[in-house]
Amino acid sequence: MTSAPSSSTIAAIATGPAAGGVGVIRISGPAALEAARRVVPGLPLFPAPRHAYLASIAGLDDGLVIHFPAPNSYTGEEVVELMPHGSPKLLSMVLQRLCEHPALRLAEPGEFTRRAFVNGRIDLARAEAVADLVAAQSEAGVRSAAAQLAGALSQRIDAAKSRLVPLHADLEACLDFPDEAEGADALVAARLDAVLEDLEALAAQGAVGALARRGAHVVLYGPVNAGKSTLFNALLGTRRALVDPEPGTTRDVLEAIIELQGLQVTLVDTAGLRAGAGRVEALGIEKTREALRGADLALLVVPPDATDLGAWRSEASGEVLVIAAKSDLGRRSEGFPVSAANGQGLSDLKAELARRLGAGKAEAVALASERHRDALRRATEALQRARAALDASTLEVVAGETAVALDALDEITGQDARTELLDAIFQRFCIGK
Amino acid sequence: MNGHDVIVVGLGHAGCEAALACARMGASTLGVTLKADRIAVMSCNPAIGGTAKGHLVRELDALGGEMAHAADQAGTHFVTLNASKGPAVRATRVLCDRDAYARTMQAAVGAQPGLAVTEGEVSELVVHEGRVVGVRMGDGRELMARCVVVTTGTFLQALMHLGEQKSIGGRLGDAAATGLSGSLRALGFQLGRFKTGTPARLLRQSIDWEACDRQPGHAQPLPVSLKTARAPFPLQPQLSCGVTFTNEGTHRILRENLHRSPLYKGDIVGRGPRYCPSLEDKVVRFADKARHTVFLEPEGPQSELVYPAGLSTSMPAEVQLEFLRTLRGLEHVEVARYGYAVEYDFAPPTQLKATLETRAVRGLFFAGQLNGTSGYEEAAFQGLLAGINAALQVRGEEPLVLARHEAHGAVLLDELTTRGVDEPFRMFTARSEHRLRLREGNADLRLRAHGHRVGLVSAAEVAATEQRRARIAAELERLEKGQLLPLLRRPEVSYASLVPASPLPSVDQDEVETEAKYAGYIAQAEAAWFRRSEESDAWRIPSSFRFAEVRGLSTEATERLEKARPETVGHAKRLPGMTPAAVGLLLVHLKRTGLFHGERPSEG
Repeated sequence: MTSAPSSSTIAAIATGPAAGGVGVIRISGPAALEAARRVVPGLPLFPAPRHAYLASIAGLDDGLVIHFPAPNSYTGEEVVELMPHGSPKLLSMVLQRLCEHPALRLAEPGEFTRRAFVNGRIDLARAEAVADLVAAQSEAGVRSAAAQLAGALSQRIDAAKSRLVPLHADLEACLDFPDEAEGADALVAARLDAVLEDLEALAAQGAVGALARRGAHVVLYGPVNAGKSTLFNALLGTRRALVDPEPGTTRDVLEAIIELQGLQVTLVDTAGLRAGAGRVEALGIEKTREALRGADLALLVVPPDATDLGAWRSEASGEVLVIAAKSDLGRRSEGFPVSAANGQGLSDLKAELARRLGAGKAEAVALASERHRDALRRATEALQRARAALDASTLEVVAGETAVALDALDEITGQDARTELLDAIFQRFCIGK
Repeated sequence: MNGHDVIVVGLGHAGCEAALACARMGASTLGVTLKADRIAVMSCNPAIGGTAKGHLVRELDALGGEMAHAADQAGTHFVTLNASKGPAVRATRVLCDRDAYARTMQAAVGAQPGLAVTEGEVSELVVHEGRVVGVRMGDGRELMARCVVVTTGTFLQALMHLGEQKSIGGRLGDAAATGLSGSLRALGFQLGRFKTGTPARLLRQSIDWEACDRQPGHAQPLPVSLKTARAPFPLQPQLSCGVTFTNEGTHRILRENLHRSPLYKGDIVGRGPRYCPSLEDKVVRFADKARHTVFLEPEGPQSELVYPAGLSTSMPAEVQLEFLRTLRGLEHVEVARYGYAVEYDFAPPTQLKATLETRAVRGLFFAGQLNGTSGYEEAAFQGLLAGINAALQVRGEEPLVLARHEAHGAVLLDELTTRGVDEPFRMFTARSEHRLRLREGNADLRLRAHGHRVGLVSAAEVAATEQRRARIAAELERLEKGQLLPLLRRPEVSYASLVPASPLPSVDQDEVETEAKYAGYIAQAEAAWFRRSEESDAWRIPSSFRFAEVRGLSTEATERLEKARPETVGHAKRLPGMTPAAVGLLLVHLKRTGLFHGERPSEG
């Protein structure tokens, strides 16, 4: 990847806005050392690389100062990190002093990571993982982001590409050098199937990882007075929702966040649905339908005497788990039995929810961002079309769709596999005049 | 006025196309050649076409060039490659009678009004205030012109290697051009060095044809050129090729003699193409390949000679004879001329604008193997475009730049002038992201209108093409109304089976069928191409830019662009409703008017 080195030097407070024991100010760019010396006059003229100096920072505080010469730094440029105490006021005063240097300016959000990417220190997937790691709200989210940061996603994509690039080369060689590359398309079906399997597995895991990153939405719905709100409170362990024997008491959609085996789950309690509702209730019912549209898992909560579940199931478009609530009052033939009143089945239900939502698998490679999932979906679809085209269409279409798939995979890691095509062809084939 | 509108330096494949185009467009043209009877000689394989090259030839033909027509006249063996692999990669290859091809081109050049030919060597370009004004010959003559097209092929500082023997010349039997490189360097042009090789020529009678496999051509071939009459055709007696193979014995001889190969001794400085290695190269790089295929191509019905495709080499003569005689059928072969390599200067084509005019000197155009390409077809296409643009400049009109989705030739020129070359450049269909659109069967639909606009295609010819377009469109509409299109899209359904008594000519039926079956795939491929971030995304569009001036844009696209006033090509790409074709046209306009990479349009 070629890029002109940045001519500007940027600085920012790297630690978060809340007070903490230590704060970090990061400076990156050609003037980093010079600017740092303005606020740390005690820094030696030629500091030892990556040595932690204890020095007075801006005359306000003592802290550690470390110099990372290029290219072995976070951004690949010259970097200096200052670590005074983590008082927000102090940090901002130091930063202000730094920015008095004419060559220095405040970094834009994500700019350090962008420079790291441009300088080839991290690839695109890892760059996004940094953002995710910073934003992770649950333990599962952290683990998944960390896995991506460690390159798990990149490795899986690279593995798929390492099979796809030679396959693409073989197909193109067949088309452009029919005499020399004869027979190179012999095993295309099997090779395509192998990569498809890989990508489909990656996508499945990715769906799980996505939940880990952004949290799952579990929506409780069902007929009025089925016991949804009681169950909601029981899962929460509080008495947050209004519980009233009068039908239609929960007018709003209530949300609360719980953690299930490290997975962040947003529980959504909705108004009971019934025919012949008044105007206010009708609004609540529309909100229920809206909540169901965003659900990763819908819990259809029904009382012991409820019948005709088919119509209820069809309200939700995704996965539905039937909960046979109020099990202390009567048993049902189907549905997960739970009694919020006496606690029966509650811990089993939590375990079942965790299992269905893939909690505990968050180390799995995650495709959290919409961008990744979309690119992977396009790559998979292109390969599926390629596979179909093998039976149904012509080799040039198969080659074309394979190229589309490679392009989509490149988007995830930010590389360009197409320029490697000719190299790959000539390494594999002896082409002659 | 003493002088011509255009001087073309070198009358090989690029030069002939340039000279003919200029003259046909009304520019008074002078062609300069070292030897008049060597005009349009094929230096190597006596064939025109092949994968991607066949596409270039059809596109050149649709624009009004000459090569396809000459190939039809001289063709002795017509084959279709990739016949079952899809209509976009289906390619025609024509083996020609080597002498007949040259004579046909020479006749066209000789008969062309407005085109004169003179013999001699151009030693210097004469440039005044950044503009070329003529050439100076080795014999002292000064010839003036408003534009100069340089198409010197492999002749600049050319050095031939046959084993340990070196000799000066751009081709066996020809001299080299020694002065011009110096003149180009003095003008500030960078030059690089490439090499190419050619196999021995064998005596036909000394080959045991019975021992070889046979490859006949089409029993009833169709002409390649739109201008060639369907009957009587073909014009030459048709020949078959032979097929044989190298073996371990061949490879052993080559390995034992590597130290005598100029390439391995380091005698050859120039870089050769990866896809066209010498036989010794192949044997070293693909050591575990048991045999290499060799096609034995007769050079003409009356010719004594056979061209063995796949046996390019620069080994000494005695080594060549030894390894040749290891091939089946060649046990007693006699060699008429030995194979050799030739090194030559080329001018990196990033020094050219998209129109093939040099950036440094106005009115000066480079085309052909001089630009680091290999292949007659690549050279001819460049020559045609350079000639067209030189003539347009003489007329004071805007140059012709084709968009990448219009032709493989456009991709060729774009790749050369924006990415440059690090080995002799050969066209592959894989280079074109719009490959599914760029078929031999629709070259006329894509390009004849351009040819007409510049004056190389007659009104009658373009009218015939528009009638074809209308017939195809009408039939597609009829099928859609009759709800038959989804059926035709199915792979197992052919047009002929759906409409058995169709009045459409068979080439139109093919086009209807392909359009129906490919529409979906083309859309997918283009959506994918659209997403790829390209360097061109960063190209700035000046704030004063008038989108209405971009030729070929639909009204909606123009309105959308005017409204949004995107500042970069990337921004334009992402506007809702912008199609790849529209972006392609915008790019073409930016390139043609010099408004990219911060360049300003030149005055005059």
